[in-house]
Amino acid sequence: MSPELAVADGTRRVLRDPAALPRLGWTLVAVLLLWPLLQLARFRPAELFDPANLAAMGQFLSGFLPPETSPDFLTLLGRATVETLAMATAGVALAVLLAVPLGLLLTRSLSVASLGPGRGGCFGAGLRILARGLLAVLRGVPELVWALLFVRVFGLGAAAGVLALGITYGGMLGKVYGEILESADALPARSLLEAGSGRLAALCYGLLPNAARELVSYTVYRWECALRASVVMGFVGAGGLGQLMDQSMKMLNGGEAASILVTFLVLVLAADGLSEKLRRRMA
Amino acid sequence: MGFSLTGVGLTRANGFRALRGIDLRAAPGERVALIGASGAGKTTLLRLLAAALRPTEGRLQLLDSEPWAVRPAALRRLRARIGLVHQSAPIPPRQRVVTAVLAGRLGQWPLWRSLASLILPVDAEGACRELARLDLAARLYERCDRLSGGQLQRVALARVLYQQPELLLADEPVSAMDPTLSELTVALLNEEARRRGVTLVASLHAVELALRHFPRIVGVKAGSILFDLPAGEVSDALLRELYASDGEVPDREEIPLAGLPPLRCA
Amino acid sequence: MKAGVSVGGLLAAGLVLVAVAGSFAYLELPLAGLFSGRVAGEAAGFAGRFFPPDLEPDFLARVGQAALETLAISLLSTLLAALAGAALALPAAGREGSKGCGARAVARFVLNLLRSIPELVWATLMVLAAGLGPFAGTLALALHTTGVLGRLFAEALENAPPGPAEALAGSGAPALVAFLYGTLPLVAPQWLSYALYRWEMNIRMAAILGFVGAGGLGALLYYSLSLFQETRAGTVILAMLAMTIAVDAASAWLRRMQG
Repeated sequence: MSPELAVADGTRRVLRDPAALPRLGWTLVAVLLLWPLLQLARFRPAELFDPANLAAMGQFLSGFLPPETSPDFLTLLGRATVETLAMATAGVALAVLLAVPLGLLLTRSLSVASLGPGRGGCFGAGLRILARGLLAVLRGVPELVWALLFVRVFGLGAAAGVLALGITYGGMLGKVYGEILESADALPARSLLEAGSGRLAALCYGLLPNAARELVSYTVYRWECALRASVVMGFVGAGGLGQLMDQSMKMLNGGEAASILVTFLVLVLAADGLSEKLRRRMA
Repeated sequence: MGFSLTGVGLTRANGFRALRGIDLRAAPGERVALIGASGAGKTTLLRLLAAALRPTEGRLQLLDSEPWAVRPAALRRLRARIGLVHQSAPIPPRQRVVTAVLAGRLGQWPLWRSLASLILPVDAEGACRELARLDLAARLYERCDRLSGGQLQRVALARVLYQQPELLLADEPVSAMDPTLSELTVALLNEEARRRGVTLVASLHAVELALRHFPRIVGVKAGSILFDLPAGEVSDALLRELYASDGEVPDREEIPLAGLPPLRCA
Repeated sequence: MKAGVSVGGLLAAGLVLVAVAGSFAYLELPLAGLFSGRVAGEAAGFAGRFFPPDLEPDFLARVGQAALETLAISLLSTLLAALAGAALALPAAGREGSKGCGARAVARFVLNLLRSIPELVWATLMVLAAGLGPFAGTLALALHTTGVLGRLFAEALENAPPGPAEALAGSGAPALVAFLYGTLPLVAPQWLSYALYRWEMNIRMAAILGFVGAGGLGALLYYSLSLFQETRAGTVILAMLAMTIAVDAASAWLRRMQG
């Protein structure tokens, strides 16, 4: 086909853009939705410059320097930091305790029933569905809500935080453990099961060696998250750095808040570094 | 206008001398073919002509302007007047053909037009016209990752045609095309240059194609110009010398179309 | 298959066990007491007070309003964060138009600062700056999420081939336009995926920010619990769950659509 013919053809029959209507439609939807969204969220940037707010903010920020360094406060800070660390560690330990049986339940690799005919096929599947449902609920409710509830039951302090972490992270870890174990090479475990060994033995000698690294790596990552979460839970009374920060901010004590914030940032950085190193040694 | 290179050389960061002692001049409207073995420096030379690379020695003048002695805004404007067809089409896979072609004039459009064209193409007709010359009009609204290699190359070509540059550069523009299509495409490039009176420089792997369509042939070997002759004066001996040290055989084995002149003899 | 444990591994395991034991000891958690019958009974009694959830129409209307508020907070903040994150990701990844050694370091520092400070701390700060209510919550989430998304966006940018954008810049396109036409199509699916993932996280956070006065379902929950109206609190928690499920579903649908 010579070029001249092609030109004439092309200009005569320009196809309609099939994406024109959907794109215009979506743009319209987005614009129409934006206004009610802004209204619902009471989005009023002008309020940022309201004199009363500016004054409060200014006073608070000006108090940031110098950060509070009196020995009394520093001891308090030290204790709170250790409490936060302990809360995160204990919470994740509890979570692991919960997650292991749940993860095992989820792992199809260990299902004897799927190896061949025999009783218990439906029972195993039903148990699995139940476990998944339980995990979904445990993960669906934010840990802060759990913490709030536990503070009501057990009073202020770290216990509430540890339990809240244990429950929600137990759910998260359980799901991920299950996934890791499922995606690990099932062949060694299967051969062990077929040879008649018990499920626990099949786990320890078949699945665990391969999956161990991933399991530990994810658990360490979760510990790091738990550290941050522990601070956050302190705001609802679960002790540690969070509770200290909440008190300082309620009293608009900028100096104390600054010290706590710096401590928190350093803690997070250190935990980040530690976790990186641990995970790299395993990889 | 046109361009002029005097004693131009380019040494890479790792010390490798990609080009040395290049003296090349072209008047507006001239059509030049670059031939040579792989790695000889054709792509580097073209990118230099496109003001994409800065020479480490020598003087470079493009379209009556020295690209590396002017301010960034002026350099941008100069680049908008130069079009380079890259060896492998630099088009995001998920982009639609129409948007890819219209991107040719982004250097000339005001900001609002460029932004508007992202949502709805502002000049679909113009894009369609260029694509029609390359027999791709039917694919106007398709995604680029649904095209074959040769079709993608044609889209990249359409983009440069749409740009309507005053200096048209092409780096292996037909490498992914079959012989028939290559013939048509190179003919199209030459016709475009002739019609608009713009300078054309194209590097080609297929020597026959170059000799058939281009009046002036420049042979590049190991970073310098081996010869710069009218097509009629390029001898077999010269070609052998051009491709010699790499052990590469010049690509003369293309299946010529019926009715085309036979292979040249010395 | 590597069998056997190294000395280093055993040592690490030992340290971990010591740390765990130490934590429990330090916190003086009455572990035995926690799982004792009395505490379990108390907890069960406490849980029982949440059922049946309060379904009185007036209150349901308030819950509905609060749920919509929470949804708006999560959506708006994620949107703002995506835009701000994209703007900061460009210099942070060292891409087009970010000449100058300073810009990259500054951008990375800002992003790290934004994401290191937890959302709740931001919320407390924003309540000071913008008053009580959902606006503070939106700002707080937007600030924190900008840090997170900005870093994720920058990582995606670093892995994107620079060819298309460079070619466009080579034909005279300004830096922003070269990015929009050349690089954005390459990273858009990844960026959208990250943004949707953050929306799923943010709906959970938005529900909680109300604890410090930033509006939404969290505020309702806080008030209900403070007033010992546990049945109402139960309704709010159910609403939170429902919102989470709805957003997860919407996000999954959007992912499928663009894929």
